[in-house]
Amino acid sequence: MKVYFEKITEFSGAVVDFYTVLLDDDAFYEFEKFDNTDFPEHAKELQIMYAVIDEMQERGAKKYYFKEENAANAIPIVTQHIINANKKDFGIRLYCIRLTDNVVILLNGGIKTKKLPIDCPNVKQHFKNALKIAKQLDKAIIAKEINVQQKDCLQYYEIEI
Amino acid sequence: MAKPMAPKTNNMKLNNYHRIVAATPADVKQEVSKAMDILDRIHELLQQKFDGKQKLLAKALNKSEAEVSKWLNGVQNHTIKTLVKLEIVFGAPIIAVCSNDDVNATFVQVKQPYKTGFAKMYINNNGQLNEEVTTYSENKNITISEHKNNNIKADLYL
Repeated sequence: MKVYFEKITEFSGAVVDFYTVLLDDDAFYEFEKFDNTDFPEHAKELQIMYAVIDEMQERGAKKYYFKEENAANAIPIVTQHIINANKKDFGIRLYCIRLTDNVVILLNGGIKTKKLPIDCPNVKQHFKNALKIAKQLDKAIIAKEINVQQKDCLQYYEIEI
Repeated sequence: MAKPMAPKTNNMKLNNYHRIVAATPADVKQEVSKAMDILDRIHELLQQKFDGKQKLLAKALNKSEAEVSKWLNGVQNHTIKTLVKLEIVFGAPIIAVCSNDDVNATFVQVKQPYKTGFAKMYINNNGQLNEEVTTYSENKNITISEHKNNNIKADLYL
């Protein structure tokens, strides 16, 4: 599967570059698909999630803002009061890959219905894609094919997973 | 890894993002901002007082590392009880409160400006890519040779 990276101009600024990806010849980017999905029962979570992304644009994408799930990350970490408000599920997960305080790749997600993402039909594939992409990016960084210190380090890049 | 290509579509449309941000109440935005301020301050103190080590903080609090991890990660509602426990072991304030006693009092958030961190990207002994964040001042005198057992890939000023 081909993975093509492109910066999300709405979010990116002086501190953080947010990217998303296009898988093969999909019509929509992964984060675009997430954004176009309605989650009527999780409106507050979405508001919090987008507010966190907005804040990160100035603060930097600090590691502790994210939930680590193996090599992938997810935002936001669901707080207890939100879990209590949605007893039927584990809340929304937006899978992403945080490379540094300055580079984040936003992918796709959904409402997590099982404790382990791999058991949840809604997010399983997004989680697996995130892990595969993270693995390839790690290899590329170690091989010095990507310089994460450089601005636009992933813009228009393509990898195979 | 392929070389950079030309833009493919460049017509990404984030309709819900704009709608949701416009509809988000001020109190939700403020709550998120404050929670992130507190989280930043806790990590600043963790770095200063416990060398950034969650395990040492857990020991000082007589709590499990898993329990302390919940306080240190994610944008959440910290209770006053939790914040006080942390302030005691850190020996420094996390939040400041205004007082009417001094009409000229100004609220000064106890935090460093953004972008004062310093991260090292390195490959550990298991061949995994890792990141170690410390404050800029602590890294002024660190050289790559001092970072034994690890092969440093990049030093990032944040």
